[in-house]
Amino acid sequence: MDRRRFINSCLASVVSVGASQLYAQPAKEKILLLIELKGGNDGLNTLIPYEDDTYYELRPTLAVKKDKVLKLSDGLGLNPAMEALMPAWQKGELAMVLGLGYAHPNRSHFRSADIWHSGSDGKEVLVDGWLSSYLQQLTDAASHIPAEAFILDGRPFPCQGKNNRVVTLGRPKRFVKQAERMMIQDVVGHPDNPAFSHLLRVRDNIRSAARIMKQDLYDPQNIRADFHCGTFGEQVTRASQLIISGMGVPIIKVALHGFDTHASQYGTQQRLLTELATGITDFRVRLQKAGLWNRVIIMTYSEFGRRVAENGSKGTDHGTANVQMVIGSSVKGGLYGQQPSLIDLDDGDLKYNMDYRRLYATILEDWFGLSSGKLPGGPYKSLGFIG
Amino acid sequence: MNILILLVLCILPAQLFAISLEETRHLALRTGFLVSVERFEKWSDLTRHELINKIIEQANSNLPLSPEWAGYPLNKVLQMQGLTEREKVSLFRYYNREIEGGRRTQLRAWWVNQMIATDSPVVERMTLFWHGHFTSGFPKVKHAQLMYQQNQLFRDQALGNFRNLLYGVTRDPAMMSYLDNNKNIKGKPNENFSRELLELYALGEGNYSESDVKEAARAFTGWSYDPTTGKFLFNSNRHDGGEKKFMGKSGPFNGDDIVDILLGNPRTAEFIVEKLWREFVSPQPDPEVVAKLAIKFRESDYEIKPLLKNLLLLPEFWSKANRNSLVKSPVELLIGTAQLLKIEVEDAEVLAKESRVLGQNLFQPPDVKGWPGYFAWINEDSMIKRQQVLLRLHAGYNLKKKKKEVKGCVPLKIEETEAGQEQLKSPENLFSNQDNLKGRRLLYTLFLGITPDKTVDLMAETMPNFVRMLLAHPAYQLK
Repeated sequence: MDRRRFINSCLASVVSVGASQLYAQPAKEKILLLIELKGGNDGLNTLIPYEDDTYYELRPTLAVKKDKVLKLSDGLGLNPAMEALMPAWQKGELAMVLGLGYAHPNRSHFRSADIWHSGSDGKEVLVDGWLSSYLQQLTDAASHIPAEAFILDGRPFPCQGKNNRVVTLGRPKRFVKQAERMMIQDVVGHPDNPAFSHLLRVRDNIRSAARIMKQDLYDPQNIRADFHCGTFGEQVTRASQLIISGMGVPIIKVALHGFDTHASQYGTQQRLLTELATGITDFRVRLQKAGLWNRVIIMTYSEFGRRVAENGSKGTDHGTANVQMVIGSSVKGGLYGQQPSLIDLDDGDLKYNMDYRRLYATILEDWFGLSSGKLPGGPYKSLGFIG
Repeated sequence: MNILILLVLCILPAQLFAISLEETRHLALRTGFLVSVERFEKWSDLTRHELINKIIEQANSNLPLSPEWAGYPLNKVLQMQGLTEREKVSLFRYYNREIEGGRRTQLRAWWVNQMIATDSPVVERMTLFWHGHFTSGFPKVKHAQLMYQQNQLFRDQALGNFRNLLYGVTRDPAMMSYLDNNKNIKGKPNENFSRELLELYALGEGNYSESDVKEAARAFTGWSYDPTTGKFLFNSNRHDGGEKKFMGKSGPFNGDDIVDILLGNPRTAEFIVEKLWREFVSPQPDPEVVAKLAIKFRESDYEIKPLLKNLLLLPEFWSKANRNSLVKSPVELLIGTAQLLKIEVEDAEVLAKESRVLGQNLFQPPDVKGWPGYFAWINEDSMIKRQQVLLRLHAGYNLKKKKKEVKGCVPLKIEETEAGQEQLKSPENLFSNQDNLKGRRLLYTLFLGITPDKTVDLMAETMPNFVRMLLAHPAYQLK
């Protein structure tokens, strides 16, 4: 352990002796890793109802064979590609939340993603991200923090808002190095020109983030990649690097692309779920080694699930309700909610039975200790998967 | 005295309406990639109207030399006899990586070269616009020949006719591959293409129902392409010729009928006008003006040239508040800068790669919505990278070898100085003709579109440092 971290941990223990209330306070040390599964992950082949004959009837080529399913409970099991997550399940650190959706399902990637990103009920068109009104509380404006959120996949939507200081970056060390080399000249702003103001705001974010990161960045090895964002594995590694650096940024976002499986779904989804499961597992191992796993919770989300019946191209088209995962040492593992019926469908699609904002609310209330009242239509009742 | 007044009155109007430097820069950047000192001088006597006409009417889509493999059949028969299973897999992988992968790189370089060399940058800008609108891309589209073909369709119809463009796109093999329409068959319709056609290419979200998506999918069944020649193929026995109900109309529709119905819907014209407005005019289309332009667009049966002219003649386009209100895309930034700094791009691949790093990988849009552009181009990461690549281009940095080198990406053109001696044209000598107060003021306005305010001391630095300062200025990112 290097000297700086040793001193920090000594200080921490001194403080905690004097103030055992520390962990009861909202946020500061707690982190949420958001994983966006872009394209609409097929939940029905992720958490599989292997005892339901309808599943096999409607998916003659796509259904995962019963003997291959990693059985969890209640006739539901995981796609074998998620094998790497079984240790987390056995330790009670994996929660699957079923039947998530909203009342007026939209099957456009972009509209539905906007809905999930803003916390909308499906009818309202909202501009700010669902976390944006919480970021200030989470970071406590006065503290020495490089950003309110780090976005490692180039899509800052859940955190986007007028006054938010959200930093999008690729390789952290390179970001700092290049930021230092930037030529920054004093420029007169043009308040009537939004594009110009945006440029200046981004520039300010760079300066303030890089200045703080320069001191604290923990960089054990050079991770080779270029932007646009790096692969999922690279993003997750960078996320762990940023967390271990102890900068206290509460929200980090990564994404895995490619879930829009209209054709030849089976192999593609298996490959993606493997990537997802191994990425999460690697992340978990790194943080456990650094003694920080108890500070982090992981939440996946996706713009929609997919249709129950397979289409003619061995794939599935856009659907509605979906299952998402929450992983962390504070998670009370298990299945939450109700598996939607495969017979009582909404024009070929699953009917949702759990407002997706309850997923967000549970994290806000039980993880960060904040009221979910600021969510659109909030507050919402917690699902109780954190404890 | 009267003659004098008459003379003055004759001269004045031309001067009054002749385009100013700032306006020239504005128009040139919005419709092309570059504004150079020389070009400004050529245009400085024209009025706005004349210049717009010149840019649009004289546009020609001169077809460049196509890549060697453009006409090759799609299926390569690999010599697999006598190979073990392992060797076959290895050969197949080699083929994909080296041959197909190599062609993609070549195709990107080909387009960059075309954008640099063209006499009609507006055609390339429109081709790029259609490419971002009717999205398709690698790696889903496996063969570079198909993306090349699609690119030619866009170039052909860049300033042509939107109806023809839609007919072409619905038959385009790259599009069919990208959105799975080649797998859309009778009895098992695949909705991917029909959904995006309605949502992203023609009407816009919220203007059709789920049922419309499904019925349109049926209409496009059997529309596919030949896996060897890569040409459109209609599989009549895979086509669902049954009765369909689409947007309130009934009939045994096929793909062309769907396009006709879409074009009969006033919303389509508005959707396209809005998009073009955001690309060329400003971030906020005015709904009333859009509606008027859309009506004219439909009445002209979807001719693109008059629409573009109308957009460029709008007072909204020319208003001072609208200068520098849009963000240059990576392609515009890189190509415009390379031309402005008179860089002879030896290796267009390198520029294409830089464009990818900045978020615009040609022939590979990030998803079916294309490149959202505007604010999305600039985040903390991309801003740093933009500045870095601009300064490197200026410094004679060899982008391919990633080190400083006088030769390489930056040219060494030999030019004659006034004294009749030969001189290397390097960054040190760039713009040496403008190295005085008037010249620097001109450069400032040309690069940044703003007049320097009194606190800026234009002559304080050497010319190379002055140019670096201009390139690093936030306003250089805008158009």
